[in-house]
Amino acid sequence: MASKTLITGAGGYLGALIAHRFVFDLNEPVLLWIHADSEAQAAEKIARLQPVYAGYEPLITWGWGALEADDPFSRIATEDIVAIIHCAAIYHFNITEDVARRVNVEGTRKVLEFATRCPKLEHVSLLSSFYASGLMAGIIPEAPLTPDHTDGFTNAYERSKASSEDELLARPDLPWNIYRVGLVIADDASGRVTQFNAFHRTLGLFHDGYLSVMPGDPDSKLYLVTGKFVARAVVDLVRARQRHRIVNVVHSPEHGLSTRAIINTMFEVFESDPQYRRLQFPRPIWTDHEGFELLMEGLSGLGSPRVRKALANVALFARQMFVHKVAVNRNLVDSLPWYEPENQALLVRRTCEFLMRHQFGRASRPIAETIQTLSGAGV
Amino acid sequence: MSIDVYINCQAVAFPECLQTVEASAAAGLTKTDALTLRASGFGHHRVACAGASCDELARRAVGDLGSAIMGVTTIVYATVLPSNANLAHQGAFEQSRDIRDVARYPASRLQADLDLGQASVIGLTQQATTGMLGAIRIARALLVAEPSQSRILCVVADLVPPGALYEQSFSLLSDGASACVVSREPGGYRLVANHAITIGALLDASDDQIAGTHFGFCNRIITETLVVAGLSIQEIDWIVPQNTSPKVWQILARSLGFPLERVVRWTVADVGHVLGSDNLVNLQALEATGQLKSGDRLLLFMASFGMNWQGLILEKV
Repeated sequence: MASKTLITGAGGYLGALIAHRFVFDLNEPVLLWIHADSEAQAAEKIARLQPVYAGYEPLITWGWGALEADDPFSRIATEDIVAIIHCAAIYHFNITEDVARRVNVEGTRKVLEFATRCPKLEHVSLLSSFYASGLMAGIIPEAPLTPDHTDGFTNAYERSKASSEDELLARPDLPWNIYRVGLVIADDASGRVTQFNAFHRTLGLFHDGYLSVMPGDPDSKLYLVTGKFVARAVVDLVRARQRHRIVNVVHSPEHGLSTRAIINTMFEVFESDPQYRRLQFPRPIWTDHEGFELLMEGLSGLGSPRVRKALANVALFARQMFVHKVAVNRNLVDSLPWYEPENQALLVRRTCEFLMRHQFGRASRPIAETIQTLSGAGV
Repeated sequence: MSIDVYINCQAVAFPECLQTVEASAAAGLTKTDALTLRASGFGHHRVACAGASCDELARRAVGDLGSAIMGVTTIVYATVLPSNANLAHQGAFEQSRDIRDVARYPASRLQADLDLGQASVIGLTQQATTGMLGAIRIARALLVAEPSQSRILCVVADLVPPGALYEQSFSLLSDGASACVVSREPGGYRLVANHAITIGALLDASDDQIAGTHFGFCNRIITETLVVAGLSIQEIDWIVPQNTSPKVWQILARSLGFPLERVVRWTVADVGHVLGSDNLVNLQALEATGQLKSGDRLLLFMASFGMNWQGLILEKV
């Protein structure tokens, strides 16, 4: 049997893009593990994904399971696994603490337990988040985060990613690596969006006139990346077979955009539409955290349900908008000879243009379609 | 503008009936339950008795101005609801089919009742709750443009129509009227600047969108009015706002960097949102505190249907 890389969450957005790069660009065998609670559900998901890999079947092995199960990887042969990339997780900001712990944290622990059973294992990596740093301000090093996470977190998702990292740090016996991915806002530089997240939903709320207040410091920066960049970076990092390496898969702050610049670009794009321009929707007022809390509280009884929902969406990451983070990405730059920062201003502009053309993701595209689209684009 | 214009005096009038939010909620006059409205700062409001008339309320408000209305050369009469700009009784037009019965104007009646035969009238019915600020704006423009103008009476009067809810845009409504005299005679408040925005394209906006953009547009009208006046928010001593939930002001004041205690928001619990009269109701309430002093600058503003926003800056003489 050929040595292969196990990719958990291969039916998800980043997992699929990483799998795509291994298979289509590198012709390397992979074991694609997808989340499924039953054989029937697994069969259905695999059937949907199989056409994407038509012609590459010899490189693909399918696996499935649920991270909440006792041994999600019991159906997988361990002998030929040389690398594991753990992408499977719940990425929603509104995830509960309990689910985040069971799926993201305990799921990571189970991946590591499985890793110990793989005799040829050379590498295991966790796809973490740059925002696993939570409310930590200042320099975010490519090093373990503060062990007690004293700065706290904006939401359970962030906390679960930090705790997942702790699981790896506690296993010096394993060849682990941690890749902290920035906020993915588009598939690639074209601005096309497949995976709609809180960033896109918030832009949609501004566009539709449901929000005119933004919590945060307008000078704080967001660390934006594309799916294509992340997939290429992660695959090359995995293939470098480093050990106990933490990499911030983000661009350095001098290439980043302030939230003010992002909002201004967003409105410039919106206002390029004459119909939108006529509405003269105001650019948001920046408010401090207390002001935003007051707004949430003030509208808890009165106020439009839609506006309350919009504010609740923003509340999931509001505190993060006040934190000035300075990303270090030396390990990333040193590991990738091809590295070049993505043009953030252009990326935001093109993403906003895409979102306007596609009604802000109200009709999400299936992941298989994205992979096929990206195949044409050459991820 | 080289000619200074002043608001010399002002008055407000309410119907007699003071009703609790609980009583109104129980009577089906609100959409929102009493507990929520009370938690949002509303306690009582004024509800006219059946058969009460809008022009009577207007007359009472103007009556309180006393001799200040002598020599009025123009009456600018605003109503928030166009239906309040017609004195004909309900069903009169359907019975007569005579268009006169949709054009029995209260401004002319007021002129006659007050024996102000020398005054011409202007009706203002499409500026909704910004109507009083619109009336003052017109008064100022007339006084600047027409030397023959000396005193201008601005009036706004509204009754919520029979059967209508006494709640709009999450605010508890009151019936009421207010009036003021604007002239070139120094006294009262000097008009420093006024500003108005209308965004007709938002006419079809949903309640959600109006609520969602409320803070943004309030911020915009205030900021732009300050620019027109050449002032900064730090040079304003009082904000005399529209009556909405006081919680709104906790947020807006923060965003403007303005001290909350200088936002006149303490009439909300007693009268709710008095349609076009909020600014003068709050101005009177501010005067009653005895805290106003000569040279104080006041920023008045309103947001309304239409979609209209108006701002006005006054300086206490």
